[in-house]
Amino acid sequence: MTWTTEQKIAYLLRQPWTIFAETTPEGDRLLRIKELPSAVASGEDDDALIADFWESLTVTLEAYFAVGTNPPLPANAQSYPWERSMPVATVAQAISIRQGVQRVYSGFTAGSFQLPVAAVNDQKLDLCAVA
Amino acid sequence: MAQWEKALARMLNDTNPNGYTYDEAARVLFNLGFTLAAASSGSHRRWARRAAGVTVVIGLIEKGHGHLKPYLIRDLISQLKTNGLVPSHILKP
Repeated sequence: MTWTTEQKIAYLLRQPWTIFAETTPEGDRLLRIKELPSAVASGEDDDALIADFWESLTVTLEAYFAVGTNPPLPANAQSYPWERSMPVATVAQAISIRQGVQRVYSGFTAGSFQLPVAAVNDQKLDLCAVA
Repeated sequence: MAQWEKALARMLNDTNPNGYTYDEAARVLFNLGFTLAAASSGSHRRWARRAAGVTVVIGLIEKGHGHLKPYLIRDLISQLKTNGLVPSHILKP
């Protein structure tokens, strides 16, 4: 699967960012995201603040992708799902590559699963990550 | 010293940065190698600079009139300092 920028942004919008509130010396009410210093929202009431938060987060994520880089990850995330996607092989190819590996995977139906080749080669296959 | 450098020098030493326009801040960022990377349908603007594997994104608000909120200028200066992007000749007193 090739992720579009829109899909990447939609995914990141759902992540558990570290959000904190702040009131400036001038009295502006802000919401900030620790991992994304430029994602700052302001608003005079809660509704305006929350609406501005989503706008701020979205445009910040767009900026990172616009210059060809991934945004920082949320604090508890380890990698981007679109970077875990790899070229795929058929089950038969994957089993052939994995000759000698003792781990047993249940639920395989030949022709219905595709496995990441690189993950197979590294012997780090995780069925949960199989598309 | 160019106008943008004077503006940046003022921002650096301004304890109450409430008199700067979007155009002034944008000019500073442009001259430091930033480009306007993203703009929302509202007023959010994001200026970004990618160099040596490091991406710096700075947020501004463009309302078309008036001055930027002081926290935006404080954030801008903080980001520039954190990433070593303030030219040394401007940092000097």
